[in-house]
Amino acid sequence: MKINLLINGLYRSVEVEPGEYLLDTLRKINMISVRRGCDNTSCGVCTVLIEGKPVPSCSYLSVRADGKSILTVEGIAEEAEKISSYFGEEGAEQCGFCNPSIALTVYALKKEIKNPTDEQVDKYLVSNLCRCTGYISQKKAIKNYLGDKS
Amino acid sequence: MKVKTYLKASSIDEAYQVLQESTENAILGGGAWMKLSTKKVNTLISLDELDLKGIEEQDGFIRIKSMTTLREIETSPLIQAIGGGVITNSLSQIMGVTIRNIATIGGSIVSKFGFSDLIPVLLVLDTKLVFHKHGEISLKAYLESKIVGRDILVEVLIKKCDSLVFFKKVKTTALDFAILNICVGKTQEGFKIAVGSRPGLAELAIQSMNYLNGCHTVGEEEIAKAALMVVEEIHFSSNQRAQKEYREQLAEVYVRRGLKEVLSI
Repeated sequence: MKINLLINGLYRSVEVEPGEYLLDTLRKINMISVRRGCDNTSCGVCTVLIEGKPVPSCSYLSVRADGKSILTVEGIAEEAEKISSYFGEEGAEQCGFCNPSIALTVYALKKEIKNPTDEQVDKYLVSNLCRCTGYISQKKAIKNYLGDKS
Repeated sequence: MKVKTYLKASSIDEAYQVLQESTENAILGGGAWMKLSTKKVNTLISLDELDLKGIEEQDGFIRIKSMTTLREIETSPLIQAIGGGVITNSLSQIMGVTIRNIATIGGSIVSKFGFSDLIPVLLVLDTKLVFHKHGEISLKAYLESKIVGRDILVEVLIKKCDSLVFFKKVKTTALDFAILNICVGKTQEGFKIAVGSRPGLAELAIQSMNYLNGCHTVGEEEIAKAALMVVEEIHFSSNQRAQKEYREQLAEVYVRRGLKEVLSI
């Protein structure tokens, strides 16, 4: 069946199977910044924003996204670059595999919760796993980014 | 889950009719745990286009439409005011925000998952369910029987509760399912104790509740006895997360702590 996706501001018409997941559809059309990790909602690397909300694309049926707005990290390029520079300053980037999904989740957090507490940040990002950094440097970088009013 | 065809229902009657056509047709809730299922579905029926989202207060109840996401419920001020924020507390411990942005209250209830963190809390809060054809039924009756059959959950009615309700999810890591869930409250109907992730489906500890409700005063001694009664009446078992004996010990300790907390002892 054919669905229409508004990906990063551009309409794409895509042929999908009824039981196909959005992660597979996005990677099929070369949106490979959306990563495949655990493929069962546990690791967070497949996160995209649907209508502004972070969701695990590995467990979201593509047909449900028909007509909806989807943001991948390319769609928030300017903010992602800003987040990335804070990560760089704190040495919070290592292999980089989880970076697109963390950037999207942090971006959604900033939009959803004004001046979040450390606890709120931890809870919001609990399902975005990073196997390299140990999270301390990432938390510092995220705090610095959230405090950036520019 | 293997899906053959997908239907965006244009009315709840259409969704119900297609559901009745074959036992291989199914309703799509949030879909968060679809990947855990090996089921083959002929027609997967989507309720996304129907007016089944929203939370409102009416006649002493909070009415939650069945396709409302767990995140929408968790962040609702109406929900945060119930039982000292017990629903928000339990929901905030389910995986991460991303999953809670897709999982729905209807899917969480109808799936009758033993690992549900929400069902024990809803049992204590005396929740009622409204199905499209069957109409209203208590959550307790729905969980214990199959009288509703293949129907569509439309609304969840939660009685407003001003008193503090205790909830404890015992788990080994932030993203894991619970080893045990305990919910304890003293509502208008008296003491309520629910045990979930036994690892079976959550249930109320009726004998222990009756004992407490029959006591003139409840102190340390009565609390200790009620906690032991919970272990005796509820059936616990072992799985890969914990042994039966460990669950029994946890249940006794957390029922005791829960009762003390709701009684401010």
